[in-house]
Amino acid sequence: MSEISKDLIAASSRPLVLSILAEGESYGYAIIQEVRERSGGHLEWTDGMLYPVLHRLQREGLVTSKWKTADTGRKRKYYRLNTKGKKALATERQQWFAVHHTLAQFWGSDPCLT
Amino acid sequence: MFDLETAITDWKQSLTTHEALSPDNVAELEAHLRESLPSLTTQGLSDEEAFIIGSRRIGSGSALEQEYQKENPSLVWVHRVKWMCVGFLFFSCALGIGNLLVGSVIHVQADTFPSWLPFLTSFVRRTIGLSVFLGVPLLLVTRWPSLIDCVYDRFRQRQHLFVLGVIACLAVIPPILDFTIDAVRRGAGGDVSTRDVFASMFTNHLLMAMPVPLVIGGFAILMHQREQKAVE
Repeated sequence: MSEISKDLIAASSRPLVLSILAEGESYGYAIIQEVRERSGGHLEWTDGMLYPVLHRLQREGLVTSKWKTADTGRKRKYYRLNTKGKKALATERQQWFAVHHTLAQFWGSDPCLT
Repeated sequence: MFDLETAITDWKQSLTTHEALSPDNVAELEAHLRESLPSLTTQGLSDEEAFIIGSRRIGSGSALEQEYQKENPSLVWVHRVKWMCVGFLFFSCALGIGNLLVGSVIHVQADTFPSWLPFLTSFVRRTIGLSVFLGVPLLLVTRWPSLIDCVYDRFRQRQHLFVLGVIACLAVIPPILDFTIDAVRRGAGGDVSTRDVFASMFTNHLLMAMPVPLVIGGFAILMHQREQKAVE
């Protein structure tokens, strides 16, 4: 598969970050690793670009952040999804499924998102 | 010989030159870089190679600034306003020192030397007052950058009220401070009525304070409009 376009990566960053944080609080480096792993390497983010996305979510009041010291002694800024964030994720989910279902009608439904 | 800590410090230093990145943003990127290094060195890379790859993955300073600026346009103009405030403080200090020198010369010539003291106390008081008045908010926004967005959102919603509020603060707070200090100094009695003193100080400060927030506010709005156009 060819590289996914920048526009598509940018558009999908928001629902992806919200989905990862829905599974529990996390920090930048771990989020990037998770995206790489789950996308099978197809979604290659420039690491530094993740943070403006996280900051935007925080400004919109969807996530909260806190500096913590990990067991290894490293300082990390953890992000956590709040109730408003969970609602935003549900909305994103509906919208992406709507797009997916529309495209699936033209292309067939493989691979299926559900 | 490559020193990892020096390289990270230099890299951080280069990031801080970009206005759209706050100290907290840089700290977060540093944490990310440090997090990514062990996985690279365990693959057999040297510290130097791991640093080069890790920092490149994070992105160049200008690319980061572009992205951060989209989410945080307020930070850029807050930097500019900060320097304008520093300039204003410097200007007012220079003016005070000038006044002090001219005053001293006049008093030395008129052989009333001891009376230069009020010039000095007034200058010191004014400079400390202005430093606190301009410095405290600046320190707050530097320490807690999220405050900027909070104030910025309010500012964007009610620009006129914000400017009027700053004028009111600049016009009311210094005369109240002056008035309190004078009242304490004069004690209960005095040859001039306290109301007269207050009225004259109020007018004085109001006239002095009027152009400052107008210039700062106007400049900030212009900068913001230019940045919005650039982002679009």
